[in-house]
Amino acid sequence: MAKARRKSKAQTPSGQRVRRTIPGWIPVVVTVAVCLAITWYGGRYVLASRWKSQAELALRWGRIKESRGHLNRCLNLFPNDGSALLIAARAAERDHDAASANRFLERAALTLPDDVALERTLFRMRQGDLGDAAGMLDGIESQLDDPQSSIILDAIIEGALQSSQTAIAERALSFWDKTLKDDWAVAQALAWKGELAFRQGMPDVALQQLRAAVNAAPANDQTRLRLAEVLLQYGPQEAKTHLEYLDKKSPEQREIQIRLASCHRELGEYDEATTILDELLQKSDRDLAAMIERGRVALDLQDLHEAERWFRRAEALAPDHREVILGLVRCLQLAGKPSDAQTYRNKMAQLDANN
Amino acid sequence: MKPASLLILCLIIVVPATVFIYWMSREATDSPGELPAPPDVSLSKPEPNSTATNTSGTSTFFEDVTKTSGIAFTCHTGEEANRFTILESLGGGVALLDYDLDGLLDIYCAGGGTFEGDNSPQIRGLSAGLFRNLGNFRFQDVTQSSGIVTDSLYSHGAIAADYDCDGRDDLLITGYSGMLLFRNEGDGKFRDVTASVGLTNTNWSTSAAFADLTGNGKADLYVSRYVNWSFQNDPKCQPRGSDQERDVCPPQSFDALPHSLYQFDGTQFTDHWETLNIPTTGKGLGVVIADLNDDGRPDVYASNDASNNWLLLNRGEGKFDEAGLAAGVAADDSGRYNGSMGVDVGDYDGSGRASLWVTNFESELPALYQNVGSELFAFQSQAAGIGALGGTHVGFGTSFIDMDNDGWQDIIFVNGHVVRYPAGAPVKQKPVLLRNEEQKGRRVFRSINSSGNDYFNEEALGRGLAVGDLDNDGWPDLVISHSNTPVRILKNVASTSNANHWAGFSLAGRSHRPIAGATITVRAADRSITRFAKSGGSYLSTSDSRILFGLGNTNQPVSVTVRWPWGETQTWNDLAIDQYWKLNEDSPNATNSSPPELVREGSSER
Repeated sequence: MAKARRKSKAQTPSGQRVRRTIPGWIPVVVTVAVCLAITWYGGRYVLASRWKSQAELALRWGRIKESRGHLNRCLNLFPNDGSALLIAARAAERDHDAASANRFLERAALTLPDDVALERTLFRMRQGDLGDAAGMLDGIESQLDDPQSSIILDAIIEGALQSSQTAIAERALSFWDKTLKDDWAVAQALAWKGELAFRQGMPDVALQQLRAAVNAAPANDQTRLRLAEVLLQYGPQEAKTHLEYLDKKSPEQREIQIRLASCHRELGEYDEATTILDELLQKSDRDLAAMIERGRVALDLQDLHEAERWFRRAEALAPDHREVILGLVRCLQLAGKPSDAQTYRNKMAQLDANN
Repeated sequence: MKPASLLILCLIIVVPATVFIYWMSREATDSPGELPAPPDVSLSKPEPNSTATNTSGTSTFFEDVTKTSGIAFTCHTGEEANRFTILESLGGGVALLDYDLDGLLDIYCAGGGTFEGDNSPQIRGLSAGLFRNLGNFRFQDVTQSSGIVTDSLYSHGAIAADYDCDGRDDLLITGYSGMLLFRNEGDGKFRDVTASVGLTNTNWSTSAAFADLTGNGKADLYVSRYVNWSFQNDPKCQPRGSDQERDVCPPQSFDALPHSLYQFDGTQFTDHWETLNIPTTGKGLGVVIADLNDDGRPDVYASNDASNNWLLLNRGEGKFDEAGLAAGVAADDSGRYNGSMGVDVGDYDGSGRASLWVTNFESELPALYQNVGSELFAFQSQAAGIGALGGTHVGFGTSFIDMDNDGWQDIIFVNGHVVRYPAGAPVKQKPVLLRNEEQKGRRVFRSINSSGNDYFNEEALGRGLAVGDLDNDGWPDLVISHSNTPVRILKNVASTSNANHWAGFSLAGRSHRPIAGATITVRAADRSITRFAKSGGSYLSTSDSRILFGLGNTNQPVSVTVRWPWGETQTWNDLAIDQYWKLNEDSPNATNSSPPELVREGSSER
């Protein structure tokens, strides 16, 4: 019966086979839909991948804000992309945004739990907790070609420099030199060697290495900023050229603007320093670094009332900050308030003794 | 629909989509805005002394006359023995004194020392040099006939002063294992009186200064002392950032020695250091005595290496308050002590107050402490443009000097490292010449090395520096000592392109009592210029005791007021300019003290 029914669908009663006709618009719609789907998903994938790699590249070269911008776009398309979340966590951590870094890691843990565990270890290392470093370096020594080596070495070197554990930094740097040879790695090694020399009290060597690092990678803003920071003490005129360049390249970056203001102050260019600092303080009236620098400018100009006002405001935010206390000592001393100055001097001596 | 049509349809959709995606991803990487090319980064060390054109229009301030001067003298440190002792790092100074009272400044140079023997090394002093000024920048070596023998002392300091108030400059030589005091006998000879006046302390002495610190009319003596190094306390220090086995140790490796504050009763020096009760120790390298708080009494400022500097305010009756921290001159603007070496006192800002200038170690700025009155000083290095130099100098001999006689005190300092393998700055360093200029209502110092002369672009181990008018032409000349390379004599030639006027004063205290602590103010037209009679200053050296005033374009006679130390104020009016005057305490008349023939000789080449 069933057999007979199937036959009746395929054949006419006369037994002739009938050709089923599909409307012409269906293939067109299907093709368009497929193309659109491919374009939509493929495009999103291509875009996300490209943004992710650009973010990784920007992060490598120290352009953290740019990196975070790329990652935001990438994660808007694929919010649960584990590898993008890991890079985003790394970028946030380098941007001193620990809360966001942690959130990214929690999301990444859903798809890449092992990688997240490693990333958390590396975060701790970057902060200077190098308990696991020796073991990790031993591991790296036996498998220098492991692709994860560079991430681990990066964290160990940063952490060792952060905590002035120079022997660990030197060992990790020697592995870095052996494993990584591309332009970025060479430039990064020069920058780290500069930092290491600076922390070892060899500013001449530090400046030489940092200059070489900037020459090797002129687009690495972080290295250029670090060079400018060291130059603030040894060659403020040269520091100013770098800071002005960085400020033009990345306007509104507080970190750069504070240093540029310090540089102007070092050079006795108080109008320029005041303009920058007043703008920063207008944006945020709780900017401690800007407040201290503004107080110093007023102190240099012997506007003691103004200087004390800024240092008092800073004191309200950070009562145990050495620079705030020092500023108050100098202010009160010059204002003819020796007993008040002495109180703060004693406090500073205590802080110095504790440190 | 044919397959070809479908393909075309696909392409129509996919190609623009691909282009769109590509454009989207490119857009994100575009560089922000139009940027200038990044600043060049030179791999070599940048020039710390930015040179500039001289706004005063002079092409050069100094001419090196060493070759024709007849002085070929070198202070040796003994570094060739490769002992790497901290003793080698100090070098020696120079003193300007008119020992034969012929009206011309003569030059004394400390000889330094060397090391002998391998297993039990001995420290040996080297001969000093005394050079008599014959005029016109020619000098005669009179060391042998002068009776000055310094072989017993590895010598550093050269301090010229009239310790016995007989009107003749004597010589105190400081160094490792004690001091030597040579009395000027007045016949061209000196006699060693060290033991007979009680200067028997054998601790390592560096800079020193004589002044009447107690008001009894006698020359008391402040002696800076350094550290307790000896071959028995000679640790092996390794250089930072170098494969070399050994380098000179830093001062932190040793303990500071107590300084000396000798009171002189006319026959004996007695050390009263312990009675000062200074709570901190200081590794002394420099000292200057002048009236720093405007109370008419000479005060002491001691610059110490790797420890706080001291300000000993003279409260009379032999009492001093150490007020370095309270006055703001103990440390820099970071609140931390510096490695201080050279020091001077001057009125750089026209306030009439005595500001302090200190040369420091690398990574520190030379410190300009502006005297703001009420025994308070403001750290003004940045505000005065000194910050632009950066912290690359290891500064030693220094002086305020009005090199162009415009009435504003400029600054010179010489530099050179103390270790052989430094990591922060080169071993040999250029001197620095800073011109005092007005900028937005402030006095600022601008580096003008290119206007100095070739010497200012040479790297050396600069140590001692003395400023004085060697040819009595009213323009201050320079004598500079170096470690292991010859002393240099630089003649001031700023007058060749500069018509500024000047007046010079030689102060004679009652019964030749010391005049350090006097304040001298010249009033010329609408200007009032103040200078300070001082003792010590610079580094291990003694400058011309006469006081020169640059008067700019003032061409009228001037009046001068002297506040004598511990004494009264006297004024002399209507003194002609472009000459030296001798001002005697209690005498209403000033005497023209310019030796005319020497002025002619000195001026004839201009």
